Amino acid sequence: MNRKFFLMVGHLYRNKLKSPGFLASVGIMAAVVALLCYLPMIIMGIIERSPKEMQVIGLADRTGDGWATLLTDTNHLPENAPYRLEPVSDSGKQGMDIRELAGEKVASGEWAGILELRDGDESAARPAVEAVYWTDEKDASDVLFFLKQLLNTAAFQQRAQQLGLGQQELAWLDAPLKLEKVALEEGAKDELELNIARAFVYLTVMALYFMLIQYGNMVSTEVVVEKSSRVMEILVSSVPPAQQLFAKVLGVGLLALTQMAIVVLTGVFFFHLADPLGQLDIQLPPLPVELLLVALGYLILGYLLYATLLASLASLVSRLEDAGIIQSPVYIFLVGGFFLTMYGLGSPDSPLVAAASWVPFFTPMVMFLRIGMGMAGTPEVLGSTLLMAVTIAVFVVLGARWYKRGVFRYEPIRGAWRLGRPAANAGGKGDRER
Amino acid sequence: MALELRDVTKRFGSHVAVNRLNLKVEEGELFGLLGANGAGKTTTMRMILGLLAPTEGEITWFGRRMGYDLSHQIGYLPEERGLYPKLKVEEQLVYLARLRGMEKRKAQRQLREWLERFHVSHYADKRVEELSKGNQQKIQFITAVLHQPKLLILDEPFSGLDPVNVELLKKAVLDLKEQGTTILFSSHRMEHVEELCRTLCILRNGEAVLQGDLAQIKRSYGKKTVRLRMAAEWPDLAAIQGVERVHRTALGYEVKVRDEAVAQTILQEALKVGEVTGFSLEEPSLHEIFIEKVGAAYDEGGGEGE
Repeated sequence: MNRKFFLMVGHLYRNKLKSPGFLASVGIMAAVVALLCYLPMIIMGIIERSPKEMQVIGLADRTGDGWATLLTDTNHLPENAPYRLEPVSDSGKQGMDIRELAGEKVASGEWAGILELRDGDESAARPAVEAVYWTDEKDASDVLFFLKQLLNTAAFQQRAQQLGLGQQELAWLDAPLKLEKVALEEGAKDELELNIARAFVYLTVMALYFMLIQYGNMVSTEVVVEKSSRVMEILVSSVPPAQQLFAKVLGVGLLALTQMAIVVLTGVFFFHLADPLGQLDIQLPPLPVELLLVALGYLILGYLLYATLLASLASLVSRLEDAGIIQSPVYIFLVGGFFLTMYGLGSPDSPLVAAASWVPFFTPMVMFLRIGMGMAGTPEVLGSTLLMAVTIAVFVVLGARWYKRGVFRYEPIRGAWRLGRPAANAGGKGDRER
Repeated sequence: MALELRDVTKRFGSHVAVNRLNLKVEEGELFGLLGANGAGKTTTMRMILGLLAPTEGEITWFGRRMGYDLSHQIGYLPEERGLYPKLKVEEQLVYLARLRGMEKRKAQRQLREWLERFHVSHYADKRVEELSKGNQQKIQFITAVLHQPKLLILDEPFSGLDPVNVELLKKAVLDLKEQGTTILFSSHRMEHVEELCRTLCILRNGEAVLQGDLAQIKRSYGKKTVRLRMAAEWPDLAAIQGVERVHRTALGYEVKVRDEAVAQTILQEALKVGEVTGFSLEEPSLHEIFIEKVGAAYDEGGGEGE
């Protein structure tokens, strides 16, 4: 490493830092983070400003068993219930066409629909009442769920009354059993901790994935732009190609860390200012700092692996559209790692996830998932990280070699696959000099 | 000797791009490297720059092997021009000069002088992509010379320039030579080479077919051109011994002869044929020498069109 190397790193870093593309992406990300901090406040504000009007459902009780009294009693309705029931007058009258009445009431907007209660089968296995809900709503799943709960509660009350049970006995009957998981392994996460870890891993892996794509792409674009503008000819006569490659990887890597720092600091600032969890009255455990450091470590390792590989491949072509083609296998690994992680969120102990976490291309995301979910032991973490470090070292050596050959290569993309062979055109302009 | 190539060979697989090339360039000399497309000029230049390692042989600059440790002493103007299109001229040139080891302030000072010299000072804050091709070429030239290299390699420096700018750059090249810069110069324009270079080397299929002092080459070449001004028809002119080629012109004849003695025979015989209003004996042009030495490569299928 010498003065020229850091000169190149600084030049790339400064130029990218003030580029409109970078400023726009950082600005958008910071704005999104700030908005997310204020989101609960915004949503609550909207709810308060426009309280949902309680809808009315007509109740046609044709059983004569006093259901109407039970169901229309608002004391039985859950808190903030979106519906209330109103009895249909003369509903017990024979010959009344409920369908027709529902059509009229719904069309006039007076009611959302009519709940009709009829005498049901008297056999012991089935309730003695049957309910039908008449409406023109296409998707009535919400109201059906509400009515089902309401009817079950009413049925329970009515049967208890018939059995002569008091409130105390009723509460005793209704009391739920307590079920708790106790893990055999000491220090294993409980369900709440696992769910929090799942959410944390999900968000972190998403960020990791997008940063690897964004910055891997930025490094390779830099290489192709220098090749297509032929400024590479000048650069390569001043600084060895391998140094150029690593200056790009380091320069863009610093840019990624800068972006991350800006977004995180913006998030911390607005989080304290807006206090979204306080708004929602949610208590979260303290931030897993160790896990964040592990994520940062995997981001750096993953970036080194993917950026070196993408930049080396980009050096073999001289057009951006060709770069996409030659780099596609690398992106398949990246996307594959992401999908494996998403699968692993549901089955973190799956053998497939365990095996994939050892594949260096997947390690940054999949092993991070396993660490986050408490599924990876220290030997596994160290072993897979070592394997990844060795892979990075191999690709650094190979990448430097490809880059050295690639910078003089301007032939069509099909020629780029001959990585192992010396560039026949390395001595001349285009592919014609001999 | 400033720059020396000893038995330099470069192979790419089974293909030999440069074969046992020997060159010696003295300090402060302007040396022409000529050859058809694909003759091995750019490969030779890249080896001199240290970008490619010779398969065999050795290249030295004042006795030191060429490598990146000498890059601050070398300036390079590649045939395929290349600059960052989105970067401003001053920012770009200072950066590239710093990569060649120059201090920032010195580079900024030198840059102002060069921009004024080429009448492009007002482009210092413009992006390269906003400049015309000719002005881009001037900027590219400044890139090669800004860090005050001791060895300057110019690959087709005047291509694409109008005559006024060619003169501007030519003057700059000669001034650099006067200041002691050793210059290796490649061009397809023989009149430029004749005008600028005292010594040269012509490559064909990676081998030197002619090299040395230009005046000496011309003198030893033997073949000369006789220009005759005469109105009379002379169908037997080609039959004179030593005449290699006859070309009828509007004013008379242009005759390629083997040596000076043949010219005297032609003059004597011409006076017998009719009135001779003009007679001159001219040395061969570099263009003619080049065509003869390199043209054979095309006949053999060794050269490629560009």
